[in-house]
Amino acid sequence: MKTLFSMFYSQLRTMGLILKHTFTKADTVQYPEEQPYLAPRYRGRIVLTRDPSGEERCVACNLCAVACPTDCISLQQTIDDDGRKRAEFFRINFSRCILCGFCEEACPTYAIQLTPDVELAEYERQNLVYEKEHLLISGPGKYPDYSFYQQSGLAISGKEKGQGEQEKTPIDVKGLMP
Amino acid sequence: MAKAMETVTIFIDNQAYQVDKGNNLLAGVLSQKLNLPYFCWHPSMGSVGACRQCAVTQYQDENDQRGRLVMACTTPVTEGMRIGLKEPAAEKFREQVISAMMTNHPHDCPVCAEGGECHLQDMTVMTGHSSRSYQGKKRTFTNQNLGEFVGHEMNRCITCYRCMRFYNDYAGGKDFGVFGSKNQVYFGRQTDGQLESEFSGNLVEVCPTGVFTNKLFSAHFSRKWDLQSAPSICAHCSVGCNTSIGERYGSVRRVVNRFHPDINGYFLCDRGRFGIGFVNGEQRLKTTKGINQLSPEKLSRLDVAKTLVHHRGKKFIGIGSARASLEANAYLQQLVGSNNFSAGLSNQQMAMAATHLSLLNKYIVPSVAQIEDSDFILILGEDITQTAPRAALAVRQALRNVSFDKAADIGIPSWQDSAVRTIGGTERTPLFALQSTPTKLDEVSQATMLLAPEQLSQCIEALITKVQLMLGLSVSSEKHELLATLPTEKLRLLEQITQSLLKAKKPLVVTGWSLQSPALLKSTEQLMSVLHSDDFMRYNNESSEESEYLSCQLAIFPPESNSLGLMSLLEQESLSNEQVLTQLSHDSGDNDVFGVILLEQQLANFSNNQLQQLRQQAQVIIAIDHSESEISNLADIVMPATAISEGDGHFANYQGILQRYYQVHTTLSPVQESWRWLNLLAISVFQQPERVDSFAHLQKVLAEECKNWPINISKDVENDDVGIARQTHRNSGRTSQSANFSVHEPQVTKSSASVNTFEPPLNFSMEGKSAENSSSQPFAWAPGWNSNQSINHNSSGNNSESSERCFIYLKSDPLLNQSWSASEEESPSQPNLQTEPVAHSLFIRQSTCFHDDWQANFNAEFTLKLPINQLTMSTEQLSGLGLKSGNFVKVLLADQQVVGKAYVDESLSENLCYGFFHQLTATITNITAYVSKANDDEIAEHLSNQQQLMMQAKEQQAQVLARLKITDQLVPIRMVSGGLDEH
Repeated sequence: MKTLFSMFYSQLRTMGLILKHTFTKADTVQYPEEQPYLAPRYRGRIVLTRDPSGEERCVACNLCAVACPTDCISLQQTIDDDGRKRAEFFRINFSRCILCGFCEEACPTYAIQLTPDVELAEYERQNLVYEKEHLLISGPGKYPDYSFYQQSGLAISGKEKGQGEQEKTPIDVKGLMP
Repeated sequence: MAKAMETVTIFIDNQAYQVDKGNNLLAGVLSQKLNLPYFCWHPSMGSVGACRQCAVTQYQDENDQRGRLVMACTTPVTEGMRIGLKEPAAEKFREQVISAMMTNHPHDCPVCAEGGECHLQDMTVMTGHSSRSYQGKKRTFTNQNLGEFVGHEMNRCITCYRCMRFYNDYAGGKDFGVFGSKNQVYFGRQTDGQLESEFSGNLVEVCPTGVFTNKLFSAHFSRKWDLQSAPSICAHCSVGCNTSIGERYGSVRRVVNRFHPDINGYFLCDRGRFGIGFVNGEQRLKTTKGINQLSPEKLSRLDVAKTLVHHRGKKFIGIGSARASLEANAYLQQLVGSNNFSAGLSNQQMAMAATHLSLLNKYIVPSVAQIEDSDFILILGEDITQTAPRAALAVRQALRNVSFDKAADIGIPSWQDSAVRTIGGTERTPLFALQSTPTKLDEVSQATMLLAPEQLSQCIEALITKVQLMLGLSVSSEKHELLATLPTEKLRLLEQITQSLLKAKKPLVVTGWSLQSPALLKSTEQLMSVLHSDDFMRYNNESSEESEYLSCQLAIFPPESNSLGLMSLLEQESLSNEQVLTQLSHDSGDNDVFGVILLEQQLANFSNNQLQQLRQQAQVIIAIDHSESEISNLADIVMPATAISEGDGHFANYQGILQRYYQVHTTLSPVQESWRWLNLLAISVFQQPERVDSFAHLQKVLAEECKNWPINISKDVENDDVGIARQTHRNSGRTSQSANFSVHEPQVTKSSASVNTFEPPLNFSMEGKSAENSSSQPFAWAPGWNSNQSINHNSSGNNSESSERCFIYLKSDPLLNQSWSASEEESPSQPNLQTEPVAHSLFIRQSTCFHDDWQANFNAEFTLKLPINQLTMSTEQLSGLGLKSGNFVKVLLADQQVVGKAYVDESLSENLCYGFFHQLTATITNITAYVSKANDDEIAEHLSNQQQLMMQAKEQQAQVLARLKITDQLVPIRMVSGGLDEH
């Protein structure tokens, strides 16, 4: 008798739950007409950002390339006339990229950042090869205030030795004062 | 250094280890592949205990629990000594030392060229210092411009003093120093300017952090982990320093030192380090000339065969070269036959080669490490500071042997650097030089004398007489008279030399080719035979009781990297340049010489006249070379060959040791190794059917065909061996570097198999094992040690490695071809009738480190370092022309007129002058110069030429860099390494 009751109850409860879900909001969205919300820290398409003064942040240090488990980043450093180091070319082969974000973790200048854009689909694999002009954006991304050259000891045009944020004025080696 | 190692047992963290008794505790710990951080210690510069980084705990005995801190680098090892590396107090101490050093270290590792191979980074990680507690502001310095080669970023300095100790104490530099006090110590020059030492590039490797960086490498930078490297041999002089060449995206990036205990040790000269730029230069030949190419895409074997078939069966003369590998030279000789083979040497040089080879046969040539051991050095007519700089550095170290002995007497070990220097004072091992130009070693030698080459031979003869008299031997009366006629200062010098020579236990005589004087080598031969005579040996064995006398050693420095390899191939019937021309001019029916094959030969020893003659008389000139030259313009057929980093081969150094250089990277078709071109010639012209398709195959062919082939070929080499990786395990960008052309990854280039066990195969990938010894190591690396200091973990200290050595084959019978020595100097015509006074004197070319080597000359940076044209004369001669020091003169030398500044040297004799003119090749020396006053037009022309040269060099530098940056992105899908037909 007791088991019979519980069997009926179970059936009714299941029907009730299903009926209840009919009136709740659906989790699925009508992609691509509707876009889901992705957090700013979501790991999608990779971009290269600029520092607050609008200059490229990337100093072509190669740390992203060496951190990359699929070896899909390649670049070449160049020293420009203003003393800044930049990437002569910067290439990410997104057909190999696994969006692991190691490059972002490795980047010492906050230049390389992953964005919530996950729509990386092409009919041609070749179209997934992104060059520097495709990667570079015009803003600072997730870290609006950081400027690497203000922290480093390197002199660039517009910032001489000793003018960085944590620096004393350069020492006069031939001075006699202690 | 190569003494058998005595060991003692020490206990490190209660584990017993066997370490070298003669070295300090730090070296002992490192030799056991244990990790102990250090900065100021350097294996060849000893300890000063400046950085306090290598603190370890030393315990009294097994029961001692507390122990005390000692600096490992200044602590000698004793039997049964107990130390601890893991004691928390010592670990904390080491971490705090780093922490203090890092207070002012700038936050610029990402933009530092040292990053990734930085000793400071490694040590910081090793001590576990991970977060910065100092919040104050950082001290800064301004940088200096230290010239073309070395960059300066003083903020990164941790004041270990290694740069000073290397540049000033070890290499004898004068223009570098330490300034300031306390926390403001600055390392640099008094003012901005080019570093003068020939060893300035070593600062980059000696500096534990990024204060000194390689400027040429930084301009086109790559991280160490991205470089594809292979063991190589320096192609710029005859010392044969071991190097490691690094390549990225198809262009050569840099050369670093590869440790070799007997030759270069830890240091290279700047010519070797920075001279590699010619591989990337604008002058490289990249296409063929005189060969009709059918397909627009690439040259095929058929194209070459179609061109060459017209010359089938004709007789060719082959001229080899001292820049090409032993294999290529031997292959050429085998193709044309030894009676049609020439080494590109003149009669006079062939006579020198013959004497040189007979000297090599008789006397053992010391290695660079053995030069460092000698206690008496006599230099005869060679400026080794410029022609063989690494050997000159060894001579400088030999001068310290007096200090080492003195220190040993009171129980100070040789690695106690500052103590040894204090006790040694200014006392030096005797070094004498009889030479024709002043050198940088003059300031440290006991006595020197400037002599014309003829007088030099006379002086050596007098020295021989002097030695014989000392030994109590009878000497003919003529020789007595000769001695009596000498001026007193010469006599006094000879007296001094003889006295020191008789006291010496390990004497050394050094000479070379740069004076182009066969007489000098002949008289050296006489001197050596006296020094090796029984009487001399007996005298020395009687006079010395405690230490044994070693017979006098002789080092002769030939001009080029493979001079000895080429000379070892010479036969009795080999041709000199003059004979090549007579052979060509003979019209003797069917045995007519048809053409000339030039193997990597720019014919530097041909005069302009001779070149014209060659062009007129040879029907066909086939030039195989890697760079444009006058010859490649003259030649009918030009075949582009590989440079040092693009092919395999062997070079024989000044001792005759054959050393292997490996291919670092592949080239683009149709550039291929010269032996591949020779193979095409062999098939089409010489009707040899065999097709040689790999370096290993070539080696086997040569071993079969040539009698006395010096390189061992072992039958039982396992070629399924995994090989050694040319790339680091962390090489990056593999799936992206050619993705701009195709997302499909390129196939890995196959590497050549090996034919013997001591030359292991190398892979063009990051797969493979790491090298077992430093001699086959493409790059230096050990776990936890990314910098070049990892070498202390790879080689066990200074012990000689047990790798096999191949020597060139020396024929027992001397080369005696009378026609070589009988050369008549073409006396150049007197200058045209001139109203101005003309001075005649014997011109000796001053050797210059950066401009003597043909290949290195293609570097724009070396041109920028070009010294001004100058001629130094005696006071009388210059005043005879009515001129003063600093005025311009015009000089007629071997039909070439050059203009330069005149200077005065008081110690010069009347009819001798020395100087440097960049227009003249290295072999124009020891000839008569006609000096007269230069008029204003000539001066103006000269100055504008000089200026133009500098402008061009600057332009060229920028052009090369711009082109390399473009080619970085044009990494081809598939690079050819198997000749023209590989798919």
